Amino acid sequence: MCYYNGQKVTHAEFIRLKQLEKMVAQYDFLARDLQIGFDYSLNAVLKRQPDEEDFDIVQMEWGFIPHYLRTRDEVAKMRNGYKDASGNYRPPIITLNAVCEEILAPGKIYREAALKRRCLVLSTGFFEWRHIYPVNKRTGLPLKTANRYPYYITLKDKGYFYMAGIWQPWTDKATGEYVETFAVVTTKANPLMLQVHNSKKRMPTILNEDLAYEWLFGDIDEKRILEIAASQYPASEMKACTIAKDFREALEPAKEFQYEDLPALELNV
Amino acid sequence: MNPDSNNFELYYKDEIIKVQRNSIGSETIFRIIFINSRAPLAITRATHENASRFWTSIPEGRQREAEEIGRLIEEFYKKD
Repeated sequence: MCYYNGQKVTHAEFIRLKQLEKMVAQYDFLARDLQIGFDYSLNAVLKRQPDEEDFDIVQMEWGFIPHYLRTRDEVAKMRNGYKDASGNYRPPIITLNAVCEEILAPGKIYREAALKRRCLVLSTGFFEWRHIYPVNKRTGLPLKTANRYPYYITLKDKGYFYMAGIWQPWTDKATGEYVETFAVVTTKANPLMLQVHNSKKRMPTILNEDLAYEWLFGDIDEKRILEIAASQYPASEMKACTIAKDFREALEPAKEFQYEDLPALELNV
Repeated sequence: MNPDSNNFELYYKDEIIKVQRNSIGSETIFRIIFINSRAPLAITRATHENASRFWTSIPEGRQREAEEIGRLIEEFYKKD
């Protein structure tokens, strides 16, 4: 056992708190506000130092901004949708995630970043929604509208882990604001995530330490980039628990919450 | 819910303190800004070895403030 601030804690908790100390110190050094958020928020990202086998922990804005957007107004239009000059509605383009199968496709906004600006998104867990379609008692058929249940997904025995990311520097041409933005690379869902994220059947590309090192520092060709981007973290080393539906506003968003009407996940996957 | 539950103000020892809820990964840290000259404080919830939860300062050294302000933050969220 160890002590932190006079309180008896486990070794794992002690290490977690010490890691938090380092990150808090980094953020103080950066002297920028931190905002919690599940969309377009600032997140901790490991970014390679130029030409060195070393990295910095920095904050980046989640939501990749393509280089051709000139101002924050244009970014807001892309993210929220808008009506063009002809009155036609242009739907939102969401760049929080980059689908691994497309990151190197010619002409795609992610290609240059996937080749030259790969990063690691630091995470302790992530949130996804499971869709359950109730059965109509009269017809016995599933209803068209699903009930949605949020889950918090973590790795067993790992306080922190890395998601594959790609990042992009961007400057607002009107204000001069400089920001670094990123997208999380996603891959096909493994057997656990197939049950949890059962609407899209995708999951973030979670990297073990060897793959994380290779993703960040490796001099790798396109084939290898795609291989790593498409890798699936083993379902047997992950766990998923249900959380409250209003988790975004909760003091502890990841706190477990049980739903009596929810079928259990098949865990022998 | 308060329209801005990530940035709010509380009364602590008869003075206003500013509270920012921040995230690092999916860890939550509260950054406390004092109106007077006291140094800013970062606090988070941690787990005691007996599995109970407690508030702690990050880094160590300001445990009493962490516990007192942590309780105020909990009350703020319960009210909303």
